[in-house]
Amino acid sequence: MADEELQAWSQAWTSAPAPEAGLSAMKRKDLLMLRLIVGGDLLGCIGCLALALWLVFARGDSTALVVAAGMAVLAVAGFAFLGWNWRGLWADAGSTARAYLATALARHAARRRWLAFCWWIGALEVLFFGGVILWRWRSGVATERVLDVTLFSLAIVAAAAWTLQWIAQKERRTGTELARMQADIDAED
Amino acid sequence: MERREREQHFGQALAEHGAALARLVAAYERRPALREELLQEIALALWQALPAFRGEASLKTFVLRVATNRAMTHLARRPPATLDIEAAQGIADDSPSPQAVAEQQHAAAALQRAVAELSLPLKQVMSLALEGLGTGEIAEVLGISESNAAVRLHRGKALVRARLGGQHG
Repeated sequence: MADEELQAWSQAWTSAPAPEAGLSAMKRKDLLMLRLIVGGDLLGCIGCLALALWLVFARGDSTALVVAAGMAVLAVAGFAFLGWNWRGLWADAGSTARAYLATALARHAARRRWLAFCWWIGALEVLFFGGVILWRWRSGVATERVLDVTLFSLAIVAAAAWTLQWIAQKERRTGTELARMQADIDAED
Repeated sequence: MERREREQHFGQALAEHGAALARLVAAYERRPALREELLQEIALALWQALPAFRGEASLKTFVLRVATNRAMTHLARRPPATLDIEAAQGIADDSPSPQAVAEQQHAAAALQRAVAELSLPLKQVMSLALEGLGTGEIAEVLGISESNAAVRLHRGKALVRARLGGQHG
């Protein structure tokens, strides 16, 4: 009798919408992260190329040509890295822990390579654009806007560095979790 | 247990009892941001515990035992805050309003809230009973006597009834 009440509660309890658990949630998050990174990179590379073309055709002065060449090189390097780094990592992670782990480890390694690449590209960009700004300032061209451009560039660099640092921290946690799972599987081999 | 068998059990456990795990997590962890973390801890604990699964109890009982133990560890490490805004919003988010379906979901959310507010020993028993475990299985999962489980279940039900009545009244 009392258990009619418990049964009714149990039915309400089990009918409640529940968040996805464990592996499926991990797979979903993994794929989302992959799409965000690759999508963001593609947009960045396309944006760089478009800006380079605009600089060449709309401005065409010597500074614009130098900047456009630098941006085009960065964009081409970005495209090449994208194709190389993420190849073969789009397949479904599978339904077993081992299949998931294999894909998750490969994606984790790719994200770490991507982070290193971003730091290098970022450092090169800072050197390159810093050099261009310095060159324009010293040659006395458009000095009235140099401070604005410098401050704006510094803000972008700081935001990018903060984002990369945040992703790197997240990646370290993911790496620790995956290593624990991997060690556990290896112990059985 | 061979690795292939372990993988199969792991996949089966998550596929068949993933929703039960998520509900159990919601009963123990009211902070939405930490639920995912607890779910992942449980998935890992389950993977590590699977070699001990001998098929003496059902897979569901085994999964819930691991999850309950892991939830205890989680609570010890991250003591629950008193009802905070984030938690309250998380619970409210689970119960969308529109009409007939919403009423059922509202009832479920109220029940989840009532269970989440129970003391730990009663919460353990109630969350397992609501997943369909009998007192014998609950006793086995928690390592207590069956009569103790029955007493806790009785008290838990009385408190949940009172809280549900209080919310409706």
